[in-house]
Formats: sequence, structure tokens, C-alpha cells
Amino acid sequence: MSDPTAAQVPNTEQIVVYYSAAPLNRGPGQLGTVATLAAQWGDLNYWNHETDLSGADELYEVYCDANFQGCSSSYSAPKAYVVGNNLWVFYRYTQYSGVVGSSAPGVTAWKMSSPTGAIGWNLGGSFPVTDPIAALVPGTDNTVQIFYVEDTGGDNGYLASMWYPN
Amino acid sequence: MKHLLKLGSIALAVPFMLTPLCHAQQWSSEQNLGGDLYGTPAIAQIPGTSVLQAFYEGGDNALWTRWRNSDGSWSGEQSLGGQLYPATHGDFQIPGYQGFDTTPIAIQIPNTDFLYVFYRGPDSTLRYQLRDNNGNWSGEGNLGGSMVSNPAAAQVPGTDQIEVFYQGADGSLKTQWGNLNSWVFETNMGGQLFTSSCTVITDPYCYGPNATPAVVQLGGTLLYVFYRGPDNTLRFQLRNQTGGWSGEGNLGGSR
Repeated sequence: MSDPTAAQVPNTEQIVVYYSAAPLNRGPGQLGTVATLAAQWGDLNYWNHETDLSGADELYEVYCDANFQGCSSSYSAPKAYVVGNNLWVFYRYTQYSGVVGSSAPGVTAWKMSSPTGAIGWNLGGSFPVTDPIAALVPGTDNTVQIFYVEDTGGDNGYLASMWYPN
Repeated sequence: MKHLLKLGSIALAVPFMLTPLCHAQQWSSEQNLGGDLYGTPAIAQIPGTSVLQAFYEGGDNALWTRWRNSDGSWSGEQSLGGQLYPATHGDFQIPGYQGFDTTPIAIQIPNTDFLYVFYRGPDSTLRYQLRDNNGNWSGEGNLGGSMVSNPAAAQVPGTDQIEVFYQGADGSLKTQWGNLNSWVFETNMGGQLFTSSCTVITDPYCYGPNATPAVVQLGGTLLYVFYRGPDNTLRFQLRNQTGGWSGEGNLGGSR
């Protein structure tokens, strides 16, 4: 699993936690396996244990072995935010999970209607190398703006952004 | 970020829950805000203003910033000085260094227009910079401690204090808390977080950097701290309404 991210579900007294959950057989011999977006949620009295979110099964991950010097072992750790009245979850997606040296081709955004119900967008991007962070655009009620780093080929990158609604 | 190979344009297999293409147009296209970032940024609205400001590690390991003005334009880069833990993206042979981003966290001090930015220093101490209500920056301060992850922070429910959490050098959860008037330095909360200490990089349980906790309020009275355990289970500690802490709980989900 990745580091978790947590938020209070709007208009409820529940907390939801999201993280990237990779298959048990993950390893260099199982290229092509994909990581899922997993959720746990509840309150002081009741807790719903791990549930995979259907359709959210292409979180970026790449791992390395000794044959690939300098490879960055990395994966997407989703980020959850309450912005205005909406709960959002963002991460990097890929179709090539597990491939040494693969890239994360873009950013995925989920607008949650419940801990496990959502509509989502694959937003693209050039080569995002960090997971998006988000904030409410000041002076608006619900406009969310995301920020992440796009790679420039070295150790650094530039700050990239998108927002919703446009 | 280096040594990753860009595969070029990739046709997306869109999961069935994703919206049709026409809805994607509700999002803006990507905007290049420039800058020279060596880690994941933090973002915060400056208290008492309508300015959105980003904070991140620069190539000189100092804290850099740029901000969105109220008219939507963005400033150029400005260094705030200080020293962050060096970004270590590439060397998978060094335990704990795999894909590690040095990521600051920005948080408003409750009932004030002061803003703290916390980050891990090069000697793994908790460091900060403080913006006052006149827009002046303090320069770097050092709160000590011994951290092996990025910090997380939240308001302590029902108080004017903020609390910072991170993984300590012994793998347990550590905390510091306070406000403008007082500060309680590193305190051990126990528990055990995932530590990237394996030498066999292909072992799934070695995967990823040292765990950084996530903190969230519930109902304005409770504070939860979640983190990845050493066995890939989701673990937590809970601060109740009277300020007591639960000790570590395990929510499972090991994979």
C-alpha cells in the first residue's frame, strides 16, 4: 500500500481513507499488474474495511531492480481533499504499471458522491512526476485547482496546474 | 525524476466510471506555471488574503515560493531561504531514499493570520518558516527532533494550537505542537510506521519511501492520524474529545 490520505466526507460524520493497493503478486516477474484505489471509511462506532473502487485500477507504480541503475522506484499515493462542498481524490494513472522506467502519462481526478461513488476524469498531462495537490480557488465556492510537477528531463520539473470548472 | 523514460503519447483505456470526453472539457487544459521544482509543492491560501501560494524545494535545497494573485496571474519565483532535506529521487540502493520527495506542509495558526510552513531539514530536524499578518517572513527556525519522513499537520480540535506529526528515526510516530506563544518539542506517540530499510529492492514489502502520516479532523472534536504500517496494514491513532490518545490501532488491508 501507499501512504494513505484522509478526509471527512462532506455533510456526514464519517472519515474516509484512500490509498493505492497493489496486487499481492507484485514484482518484476509480474509486469503489467496494476494498483487499485482502495478505501476504508467509518466513524467512532463502525468501520468499513478495505474496498477497491471499481474502475480506479490504474494507479501509477514502477519498481526497479539491480539491472536498471538509477531507476526511481515510485508509485502514486492518492490525495483526498474537501474543496467547497465536494470531496475529490487525485492521483497519477498509467497503463504500464510495473514496467521498469515507465512513465505516468497523466492525472486522474475523482469527484466523490460517497466514499466509493464517483465520477472521474483522466486529465492527461505531459509527464507528471508528483501526485496532484489541490486547493479551493480563493473567491469561489467550489472551484478546485490542482498542482503537480511536470518533468523536464532532469532532477527537476515545472509547476503545472488545472482547475475545475473551467 | 531523472532516468524515467517517457513513452510518448499513450492511448487511454478509460475505466468505465470515467466521464465521457465531452465532460472532460469542464476541466481546464494544463497550464505551465514555470518554476524549478525538486519536490512536491505545498499549497495554501494566505490567511486574510485571497492569495494562493505554493511552497517547494528548489535546486539549492532552499524553500522557494510563488503565488497566485487575486486576478489569477502568478508571480515569479522567490526564495525564502532555509535548507530542506536533499531530494533523493534516484538512488534505489540506499534504503529509505527510494523516490523520496521532500514536501513541506503549510498551515494557518488558528485565530490568527499567521502561516507556518514546516519541512524536514538536511539534518532531519523539523524546521519551519513563519509568515506574520503583515506578510513578513521569519527566516528559518529549527524545532529539533529526528524525522525520517515528511511532516503532516492539523489544528488541534477545540484549541488555537497546531500539531505536527512525522515518522521518527526509530520508526514510531512523533509529534510536536503549539502556537505563537508556546511549543512542545518532539514527543513519542509509539506505534510503528513503514520504514524503507530493506536491501532487496524487489521485495514488495520494501516498496516505497518511509511512511508519512496523514491527519484529519472529524466533527471538529476528534483527530485521526493514519499511516502505513511496517506490514502494509493501515494503522491509526485517535485523539478523543478530552485530548487523550488511543494508542495504535490496526485497520488491516494488508497487501
